Amino acid sequence: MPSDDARHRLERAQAGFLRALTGSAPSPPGFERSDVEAAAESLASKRRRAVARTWPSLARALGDGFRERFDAFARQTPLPARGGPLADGRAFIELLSREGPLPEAVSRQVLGVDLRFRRSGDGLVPRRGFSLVHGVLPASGYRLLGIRWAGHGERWFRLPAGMAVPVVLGRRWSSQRS
Amino acid sequence: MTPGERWPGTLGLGMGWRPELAHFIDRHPGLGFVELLAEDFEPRGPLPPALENLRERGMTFVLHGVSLSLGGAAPPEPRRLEHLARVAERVGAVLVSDHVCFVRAGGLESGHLLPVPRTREMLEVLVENVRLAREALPVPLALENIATLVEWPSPELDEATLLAELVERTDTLLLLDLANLHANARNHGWEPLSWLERLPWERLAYVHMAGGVEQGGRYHDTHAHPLPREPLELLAALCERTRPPGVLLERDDHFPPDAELAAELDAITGVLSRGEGAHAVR
Repeated sequence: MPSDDARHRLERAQAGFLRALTGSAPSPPGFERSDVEAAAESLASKRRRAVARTWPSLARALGDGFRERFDAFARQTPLPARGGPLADGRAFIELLSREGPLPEAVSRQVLGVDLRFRRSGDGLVPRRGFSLVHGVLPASGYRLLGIRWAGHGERWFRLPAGMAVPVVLGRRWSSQRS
Repeated sequence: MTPGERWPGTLGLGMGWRPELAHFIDRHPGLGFVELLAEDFEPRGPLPPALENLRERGMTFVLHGVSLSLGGAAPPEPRRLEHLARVAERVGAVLVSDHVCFVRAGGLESGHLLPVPRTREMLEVLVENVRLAREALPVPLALENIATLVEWPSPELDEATLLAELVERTDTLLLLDLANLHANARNHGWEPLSWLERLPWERLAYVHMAGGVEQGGRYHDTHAHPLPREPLELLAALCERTRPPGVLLERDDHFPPDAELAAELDAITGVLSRGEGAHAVR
């Protein structure tokens, strides 16, 4: 059986190596620096491509600017522990939404994801049971309402933008408002 | 699999199942098994209809994970093992695999399969982590070698020796990735044939094949480019030594026309049947 000391030593060494690979620390002693840099570049590009693939609406909406803006976000934000690129992209969109309204195609995809996943401190967690999301799509002039019962499917409704979703529903079941 | 018993499976030709490949897989004759990505499935709820169809037709499923971090400093998390075990039961997988690597440390996720330091101390941690995983799973566990662009300094063991000792001591199986072996041999100057010699063949569950690309003086294992010649040559070398129970092609991105994928599968089948011929002659 490995000793606790062995596990602690390993934790420190692996954490140092990983920090170097995510660009937040220099290459640890003894490693071939050019290899560490190549691996770091490969990790960053894999992360970016995974988000672009998972969030096609976002990559299309940002076009050529996607790479630069995502990389700036990724340098500041560690990869979420749960939910992979879906959660990574969702966190990136949260940042973008603070800067201004999201393109409508992105908002639609966000509603779809939020209906199926709950945002938690460490990423996205699949929802169980009943869930409801709603959001106004200003360009189209309507409100989109999604209702889902996990394992039984989901339904989407278009409502006039001015129509309020009953507050009771909003409080009890909607955890996301877009 | 109880201790001492050997993996009895014959899997044949396989393909990594991705939604983008569902149609191709559904129509391609001669596929004996498909590999599902464990993190893409939930233990409850319906499977995609394409997979239900395959299951009804008797297709064999194996489950492949990327997030146990068996080479991590911490023991594998019970909730991840639980998820893997329940998904394996849900889809009826005949075996489960993950990698000899770590994916998180110091509170950070890498989103990638990262190499472990090849030391005796690391091996002891790996052995314990793998035993914990194996005990939590309802089907045999296979361990896969990874591709890495960077190596830890001053290794005490070569990779093949570390893998061999690990699977022997934990009574697990080998998932041998020949594209990863080629990548490491190319990038770090390893001798792939002597690497192959050091493996315990009777523990081979199946083989992974995938494409990659030469870029910036390094070979990148992308699963998004055509299958190059070298992994096929390694497969031929492997077939001279043993008869692999299964060989699976992985493609994760830049999905080519069906004819190109079919040609890659045919190239694999060609190598396997030449290997069969050689065994029959002996």
